Amino acid sequence: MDERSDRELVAAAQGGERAALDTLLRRHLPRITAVCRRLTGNEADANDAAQEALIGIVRGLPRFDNQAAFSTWAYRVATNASLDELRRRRRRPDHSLDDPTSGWEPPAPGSATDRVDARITVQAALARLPEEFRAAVVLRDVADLDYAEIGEVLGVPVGTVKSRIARGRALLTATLGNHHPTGQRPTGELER
Amino acid sequence: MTMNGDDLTPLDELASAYLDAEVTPDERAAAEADPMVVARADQFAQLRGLLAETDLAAFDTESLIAGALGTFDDAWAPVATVVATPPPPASAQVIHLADRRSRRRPTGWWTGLAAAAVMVGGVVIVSRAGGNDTGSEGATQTAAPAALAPAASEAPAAEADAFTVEEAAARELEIAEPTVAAAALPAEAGLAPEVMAAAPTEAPAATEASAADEAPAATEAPAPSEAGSIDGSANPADAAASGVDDLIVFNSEEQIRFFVPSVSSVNPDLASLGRFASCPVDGEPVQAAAWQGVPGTLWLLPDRANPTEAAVLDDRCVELIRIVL
Repeated sequence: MDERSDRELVAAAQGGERAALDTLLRRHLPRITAVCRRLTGNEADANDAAQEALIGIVRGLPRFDNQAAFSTWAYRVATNASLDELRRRRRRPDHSLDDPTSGWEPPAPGSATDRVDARITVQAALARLPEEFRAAVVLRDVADLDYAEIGEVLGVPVGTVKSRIARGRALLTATLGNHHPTGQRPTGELER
Repeated sequence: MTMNGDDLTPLDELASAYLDAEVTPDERAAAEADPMVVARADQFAQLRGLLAETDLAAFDTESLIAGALGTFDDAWAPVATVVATPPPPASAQVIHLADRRSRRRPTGWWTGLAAAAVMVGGVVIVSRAGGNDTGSEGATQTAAPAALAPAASEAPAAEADAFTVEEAAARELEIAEPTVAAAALPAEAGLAPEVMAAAPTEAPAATEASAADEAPAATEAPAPSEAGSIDGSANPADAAASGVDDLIVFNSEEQIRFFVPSVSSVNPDLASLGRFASCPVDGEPVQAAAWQGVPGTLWLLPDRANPTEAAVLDDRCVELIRIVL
């Protein structure tokens, strides 16, 4: 287990150390893929976006100057790759997420598929969010970036980040409530 | 609620910011004093938990990593070097840098990096490591330290557009000696192989450069530590024995300026070692390092933050010239 810091690994990778890059990528891959998954809405596009993101990271690494945390930069690359993937998808005739919740049926309460279904539901609800809200919420709740970092990634002021996240969460909560298996909006607790 | 979030309430905004600890002390106090805000924040917290759950099993992580490392490997591929034996000058080909540049888009730092281009003035001392073989096999050994010459995978493929010595003559190029060498970079790396070479008939530079373009994987990237194996030997024979398979000498500033029209400086202090110049490569500032032990060997190095980087490659590196465009 390579316990070097991100900064040390970046420096080593910039110097040509392949193993350092390997470690760096593996360290951040879970969140990178999570960001891609949440932003693109489906596995195939998420895989493509994640691959593009990793390649983008490798290509951009020589120019990375450590002014921001590597993770912030990496998630920015992943976000951009995901948004690019979404734009490509829009140009394709088959929009699988035009209505991501169509055909969704609530599972029987208490069934073994509850958890999986909740995942699908959340993803579907997320996919219905306007892109700018979705990106802000994902960067906050999935990538765990703070508002300033999100603002940096999205190129918007912190105030905008704040309102986008709040709006996104409110919309998600409302959507999930509408699709809640009981047909009721969750008031104090979201069904998992 | 509409899907544009127009009806965001102050309660939601405060609850959301409170959850994220992005509130002022006053806002925090207000939030904690309002049960509705706290309840909403709790709701958002549960939403966060759901969002954070991602089924990563759907990702082929090894494939993703392998793809990225493959890009890394490509980027760090060595400069493919083609070295030719002395040809009759009239049969030599010259790949004109300016023409090549005009066809390439700027590709940034990586390009400059990988364009560890070897410039050849009309006179070149050539030696081949391991014997006198010529031809495509010549493109198997790096000419530049790997640590300083990674290639860019995003750059376009290089093309071997050449013009002849007759054309060179038309440009009033004086080729004093008949020896030539050529260098090319992997096409996939797309680096600006500033191949400024006059190649012999027996081993055409264009052909070999093209071969290198088409088969960048055929080259072997030396480990960074191997950069030190580039020995600043005092003469070509020594260099060959040490594994350096090409030596390039500029005989005159005129030659440098012909092959590198945009050359911005020539350091006269290095005259005893040959002539050295540095120039922008594809618009990227580069640094040139002169190796004392290998007269005339010119390495084009990327403009790195650490201008002493060349020195770590060989303590006989006597000068590093930073060019300001």
